[in-house]
Parts: sequence; structure tokens; C-alpha cells
Amino acid sequence: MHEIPRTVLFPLRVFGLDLSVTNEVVLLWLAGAATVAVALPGCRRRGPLQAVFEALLEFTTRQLAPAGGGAGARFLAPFLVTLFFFVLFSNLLSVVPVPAFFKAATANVNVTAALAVLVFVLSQILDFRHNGVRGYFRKFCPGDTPVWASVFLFPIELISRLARPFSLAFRLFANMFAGHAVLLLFLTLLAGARLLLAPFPLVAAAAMMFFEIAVCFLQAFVFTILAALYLREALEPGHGG
Amino acid sequence: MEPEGIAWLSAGLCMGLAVIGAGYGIGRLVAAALDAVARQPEAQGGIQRLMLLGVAFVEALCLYALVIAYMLVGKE
Repeated sequence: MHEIPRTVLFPLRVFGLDLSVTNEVVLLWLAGAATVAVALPGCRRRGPLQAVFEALLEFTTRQLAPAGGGAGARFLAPFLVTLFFFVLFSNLLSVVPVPAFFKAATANVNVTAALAVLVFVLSQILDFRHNGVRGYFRKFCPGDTPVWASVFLFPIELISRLARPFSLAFRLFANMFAGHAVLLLFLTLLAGARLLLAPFPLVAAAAMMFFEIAVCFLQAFVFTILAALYLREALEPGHGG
Repeated sequence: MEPEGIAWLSAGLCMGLAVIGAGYGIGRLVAAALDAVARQPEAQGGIQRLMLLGVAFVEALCLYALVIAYMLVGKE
């Protein structure tokens, strides 16, 4: 429907896969570069910029702390913070008003699916390594569930686990895509409006823009906090049995 | 009625119904959060965070319906 087109800058086919460099690919690179740029001052010698970065880091880890685990999960903090900033910048780049190039890279379900799969694979690997194969399957049926209940519980638990990366991917994608589609709708209304009627779609579009920016932050936060929750749950040992 | 008409109609119905549920859910969430903050103003930060998390879940459900509506209308 209403969507900023995906312009191919540099066609590239690798082994029959279409890996063309599109504007979305460039936007993802920019988001990555921005994430690194935010982190670099923190790695240098102590100074004002480094303090700013530490404050940023502190703030983010404090926000994520309720979902992430205790001391055992501290090693995940860099991953989660990187994830947060990457998703945040990917979302925010959609605000730049260069025509026909800048859009939210995360408004593409492939991008969000890739991130969700990353979190999912990481959580499963951590689960196996931390709990062992037996522990992994033990967690499907917690505590003293009778055998007959386990027969029901196992598929339900399996489906619920598999549904998580889907919902993670879809939530971010739908929020970004829908937000920008509505915004483009308002702008289309504005483009066709008579002079006297013009203020209405204009105000609506401006208000929508503010809301969109808030949604960018919120969705980045929600993605990361859910990732933290899933990862913590993967690291948890199963309850007794 | 031709199928395209039915598609548009059902897309509108889909979104309308979904937003009813989402609106009610988010309203209840925010009301609960306000109650909690009223009882304990110093917990506002944590409560606000939890509320936003809950709102994101409910909103996601509504957005699933939006995508179905888009698919019904036939483009994207």
C-alpha cells in the first residue's frame, strides 16, 4: 500500500540469491555505524564523552534489569544494549526527510525476522549449553507434572516457544510499517487538500510524526526487554522434578 | 456484491473490531497503572515501564489485525 519504494542501488546476485544493495541495506549499515559511533567514545580513555556513554549504558541496563537475570546474565548486557541501539537507530532513521530514500529499515518484515531469529537461536543455544539436552526438555514440563498432563503440556509449550520469535518480529514490523503507512496516508491527504483545508492534514501529520518517534523508542525498548526476558528464561534451570 | 467490495468491507470490520478490544485492554492497563501510582507515587518509574510493556503487547495484537486488513485490501 503506502510505502516508500525500495530502490536498488547496486544489483548483486550471489548463488542465485538476490543480495542487491537497496536503500534499506544502506540504512541498516547506517544504523550499524550509528550504534558503533555511540559506543566508541565509551571505549577511549576517561573523559566527558566516555562519561556520557557510561551514563547511557547505565540507564539502559537499569531499564532492562527487571527482565534480564541477575549476576548470571550480566554477560548478555553488551548484546542487549547493542540490540537496543541498533533497533532504535534503524527505527529512527525513518525520520530523516530525504525523499524516497530514508525509511525505517525495520519496516521490512525480513529485517525484523532476522533480528528475532537471532535472539531465538541465541536463546536456544544458551539453553542447551547451560542446562544440557536433558535440562532443556525438562523445562517443558516443570515440577511434578503427571505423565498424562505432560502429553498435553509438551506441544503447547513447544508452540508457545516457537511463537515467540514470530511475535517479536511481527510486533516490531507491524508497528513500524503501520505507523509510516498512516503517516504517508496523511501526507497524501495533505498533498491533495485545498489551501483552506490544508492545516488539518498538516497538523495530523505533524502529530503523527511525534507519535511515530515515541513509537520508535518504545518498540526498540520492548524488543530488547522481551529479548532479555527470553534469554533469561533460557538460562534458568528447570524447576525441581 | 463482488469480491472486492466484500474484501474492503471485511477489512474495515476487521480493524474496527480489533480496535475495540485493544482500546478496552489498553484503557484497563493504564487505569491499573494510574491506581498503582496513586497508591505508591515513588514506584512511578517501574510502574510506567511495566505499563508500556503491557501496552506494547496489546497494541501488537491490534496491529496483527491491521496487517490482515491490508492483506484483505489486496496491496502489500
